[in-house]
Amino acid sequence: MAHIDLQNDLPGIRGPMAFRPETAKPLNELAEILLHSENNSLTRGEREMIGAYVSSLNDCFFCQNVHGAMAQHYFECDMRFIDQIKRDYTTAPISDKLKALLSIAGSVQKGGKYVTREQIDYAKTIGASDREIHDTVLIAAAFSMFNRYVDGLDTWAPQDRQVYIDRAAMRAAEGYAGSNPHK
Amino acid sequence: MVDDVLGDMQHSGIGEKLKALLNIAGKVQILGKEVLPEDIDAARKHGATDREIHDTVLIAATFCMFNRYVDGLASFTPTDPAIYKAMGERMKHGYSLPEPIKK
Repeated sequence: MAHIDLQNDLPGIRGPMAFRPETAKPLNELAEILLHSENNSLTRGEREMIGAYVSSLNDCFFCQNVHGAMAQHYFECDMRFIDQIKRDYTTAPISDKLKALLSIAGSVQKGGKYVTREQIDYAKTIGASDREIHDTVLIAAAFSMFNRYVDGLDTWAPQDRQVYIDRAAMRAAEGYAGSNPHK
Repeated sequence: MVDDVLGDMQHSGIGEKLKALLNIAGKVQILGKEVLPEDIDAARKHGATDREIHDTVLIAATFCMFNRYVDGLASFTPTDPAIYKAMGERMKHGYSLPEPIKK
C-alpha cells in the first residue's frame, strides 16, 4: 500500500497521477515533448533508453521497466539487450553517440555538477548537437523527478516484467500527452 | 529566517508540520525509497493531509529535476543576492517568465 490513500489501486506513477490530475497534466506533457515528440533528432528509442537507464540507476523498478519496454519496442530488440545497456552500456553494441549521452545522463543522475566539460566536449566531437545534449540533461533530470515521485509515495509495481512489454505498443501509438491513468 | 531553516530546520522557528514535511522532502532528495512510513506518520500527527504529503513529495522531486537541469548545463548563476530579491518580487505574481533579452 502506498504511503498515502491514493483512492485508486493503479500501479506506479498512474496512482498519484489519478489522485492529482492537475499535476499529472504538465508531467505528461513534459514526457510527451521529451520522449514522444517527432520534433527531435534523437530517436524515440534513444530517448526512452536514457530514461530507463537513469531509472535503473535510481533503482526505480516501475520506471525502468516501463521505459525499458518502450526502448525495447522502438529498438525492436529483446529484454536482454536493454538489460545489457542498463548493466554496462560501455560494452553494449550501441552507437558511440548514445554511449556519450548515457554517460552525461549518468552524471546528471548523481547531481548536475557531476557533468564535466570533457563529457560535453566528447559528445560534441562525435556528433551530438547542443539541442541533443540539452534534451539528454533534461530527460535525465526529469527521470530524477519521476523516479522520486513514484518511490517517494511507495507506489506498487507489477513484478512480472512482461506486463510492461505488453503495454509498450499502446503507449508508443498514443504518446504521453493526455494519457488516461486509468487505462 | 530562510537561512535558519536552510542551516538547521529542526532548530528553526517554523511549525512542527512544516518540519515534518521538510523531513520528507529531504528524504525524497536522497531517493524516493528513503521515505519511510514513520516519516509519513509524523507528518500526519502534525496535521498534514494526504494531498499535502503528495505535494511535498512532488515538489521535492520536481526540484531534483530543476536543480539538475540548471547545474547539469552549467547555466549562468548570478552571485549577487540583490538579483534574487528582484526575482522573488517578480515571482510573487506567478512563474511565467519575462521576455528574454535578445542578443
